[in-house]
Amino acid sequence: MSDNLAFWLSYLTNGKHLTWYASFQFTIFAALAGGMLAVIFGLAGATLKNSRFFALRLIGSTYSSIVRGVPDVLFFLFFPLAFEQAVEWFMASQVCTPETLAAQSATWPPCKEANWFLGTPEYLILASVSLGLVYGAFATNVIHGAMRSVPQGQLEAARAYGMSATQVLWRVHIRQMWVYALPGLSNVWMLIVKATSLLSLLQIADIVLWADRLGAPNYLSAVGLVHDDWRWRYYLVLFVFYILVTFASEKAFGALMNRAGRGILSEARS
Amino acid sequence: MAQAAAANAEKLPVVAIRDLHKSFGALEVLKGISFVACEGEVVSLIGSSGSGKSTLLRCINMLEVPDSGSVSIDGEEIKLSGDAPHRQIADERQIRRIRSELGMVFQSFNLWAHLTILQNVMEAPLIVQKRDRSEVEAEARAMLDKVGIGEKADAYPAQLSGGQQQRAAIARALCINPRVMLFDEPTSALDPELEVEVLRVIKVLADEGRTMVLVTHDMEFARSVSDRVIFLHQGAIEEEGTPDQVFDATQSARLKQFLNAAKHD
Repeated sequence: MSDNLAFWLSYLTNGKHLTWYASFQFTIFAALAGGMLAVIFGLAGATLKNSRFFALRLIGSTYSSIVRGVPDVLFFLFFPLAFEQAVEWFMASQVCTPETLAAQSATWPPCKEANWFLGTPEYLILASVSLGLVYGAFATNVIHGAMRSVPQGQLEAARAYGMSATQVLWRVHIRQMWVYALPGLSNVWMLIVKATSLLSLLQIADIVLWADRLGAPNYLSAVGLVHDDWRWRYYLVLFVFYILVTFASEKAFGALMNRAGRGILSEARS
Repeated sequence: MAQAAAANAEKLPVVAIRDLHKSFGALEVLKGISFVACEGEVVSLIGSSGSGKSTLLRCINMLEVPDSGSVSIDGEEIKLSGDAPHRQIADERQIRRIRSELGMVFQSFNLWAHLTILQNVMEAPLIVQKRDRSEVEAEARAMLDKVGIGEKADAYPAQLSGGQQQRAAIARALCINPRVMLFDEPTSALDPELEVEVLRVIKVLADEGRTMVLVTHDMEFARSVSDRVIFLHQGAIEEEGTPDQVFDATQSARLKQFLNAAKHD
């Protein structure tokens, strides 16, 4: 029995497993950063949609209607690559000389100096921005609707007491908007959490990639077959992780709702 | 009352409205209205629904921008630019400064739901007038005591009855030290038994000699509180005078009809 325990302890703390555990931070970082950016893009998009100027309204509604329809997997593949190549193209126009252009045998980048090497941190940031852009379009719609739900009379009262447009927006309008936006934003957040399982598409060695690798039949020539196909067990761990995240999110959104709804949702508790 | 009106004739006009016109689309709501409210005077606007009395009141602080005509507060004309229907406020700074001296009380209270009663009362003095917090808080508490809801300072608006909410809204208007109080049908959303407590507060303010413009459906109250009553009919002033003149020596046939109908409410 103790042998068994010792085996499992050492198996579960071997280098690959430790790397797997560490890779949870990528998923959590991408979810949090993506979520934050989605809210920021959502606020910006909703403000554009509410703008007095037609051109700005057009940008806002184009963003929320077009980007919502793009599959997140596709955007995940498209945006970081397009961004990387755009940077490289710009760099090439700055640093490449005829000699280096001639020396380059590959088709891209134009010259070696213009190459932009992306590591995990860079990809992680690009992934977060992609998540923020895609789900910010959903958040735009959620926040836009929530802004319209705030009672007009209270905005009018704020104007009648001499508040500037900016003061009305931040002190009354956005402050009260959260109550109406949070249920929708919690949906968007759950979609973002789910989309974090796509990180491996961007060469990030994330939890899904490692579960795949660790669960595959493990054959060492010195030992023989360590284990056969264990992938479902590893996937099960991911299930449990995502369920725990869901549970924690529900709690967090409940607390946020209580905070944002103070006074507005408190009739029942008076 | 007659002496009061005579005394007022020598005082400065605090609100002066000249030849106000306003249309919503094809509907002409105000057809050239002029009146003044002098220092310490209580002017009531009466008339049936759709007579334009609320729109007129909302033009005083430019919540509605009139198509033509002018509004002056303490002799300072509010600057407007452009032509109807795109006439707009020309000077944001000016209108914010003027609005910060006009205490508006709405039919539906319009307290800020996310703030406590005390925070509601302190908001404009702190944020717009940028006054000192401790001074504002002392004054806000005094105002809440004055309207009789001092013990509700830390409650949220939704936890109060309609009458209490409206009194809180009056305290909010008082706390900006307004030059004029503007009341837009302050008791129309209230049950009769809650109406009384709000009317009592407004009466106290009138007796203190505050300048007030009041839109109301309550003829008894208009009579008891006003120095001058203006009857609006289809966007024009049909009759105006002291309460005694308007209610007891009625000239206009339309006003007679209106007052008769009001009695049977």
